[in-house]
Amino acid sequence: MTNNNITNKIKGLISENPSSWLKDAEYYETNKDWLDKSALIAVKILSALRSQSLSQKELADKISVSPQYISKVLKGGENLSLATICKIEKSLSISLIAVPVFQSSQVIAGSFEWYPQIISRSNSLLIGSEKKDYNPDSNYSNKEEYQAA
Amino acid sequence: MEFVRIFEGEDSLLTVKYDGQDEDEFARILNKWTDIEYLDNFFATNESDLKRPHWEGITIEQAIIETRLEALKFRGHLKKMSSKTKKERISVFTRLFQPLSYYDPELSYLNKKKVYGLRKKTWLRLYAIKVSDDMFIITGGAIKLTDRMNERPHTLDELRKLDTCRQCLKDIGAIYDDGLLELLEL
Repeated sequence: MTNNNITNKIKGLISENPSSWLKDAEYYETNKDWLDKSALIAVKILSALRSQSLSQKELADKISVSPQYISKVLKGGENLSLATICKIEKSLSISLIAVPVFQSSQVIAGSFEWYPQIISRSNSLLIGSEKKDYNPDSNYSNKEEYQAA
Repeated sequence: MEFVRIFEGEDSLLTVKYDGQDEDEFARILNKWTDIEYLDNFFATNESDLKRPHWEGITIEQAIIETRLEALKFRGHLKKMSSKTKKERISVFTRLFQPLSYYDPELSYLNKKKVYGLRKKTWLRLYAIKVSDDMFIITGGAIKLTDRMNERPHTLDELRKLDTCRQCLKDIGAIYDDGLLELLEL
């Protein structure tokens, strides 16, 4: 039996629906930011349950939700509300998320970033170095295109 | 059991959907590897294997986080491949998959080097049958913490799945000789 015969027999038995992995990958990429946090929270809750010898059902009872909901949370794919996070933190005596306290030094460092390589003298000259460039009727985009050409 | 395309419209890279399961095996395995509850249960159950010196004292929590990241990285890599040509994809799969060596005492799994991922050693395994030079069928996957596949029930299950798929290929008349097939792992 040749390779072609083998593969042709299999090809005749392939399902019309492709694997669902690509949809899962696309969902993850779209929601990556909160899914990554949700997963880390799940790891921390499971770790606390283990160290405190608590079952998922006991946690569910403590915060008055169903065991099914706790299972969803622990899979790491649940978009948790702050209220739920706080309830879990309180019932397990752990911290799951922290918000940085505002400090003046943090505000300055985080808010003002200077990129000298972008706002350089040569670049500013390209955008508007002549008096007519500052006329409200002048078209800067045309000027840039001209410079680029 | 039915065969399922991994990339839409392409018959070269396939996986299987076993009877009674909602998901195909490839998607199911990747979802398991990113499911924190499943991973926690798995590593807690297999904690004695995780404590082997080979795994350098990794904790259950670290193991969960690294497994998830590695699986996501692999899936992301695969997603990029979906825009490549069939020839390029076959080439990558051929390079990634290696002959299954569970019967060879000289080839220890634990010495396997990573193909992708965060650690020097990886415990993620996909298992496949190479039907021809341009057709692969992924039959399953496992987190493999031990040297041999027959040492633990979950890896032994993967050997059974390879056999189930091989038998299915015989039953449909696609093959008549096991020697035509190559068993692979990634």
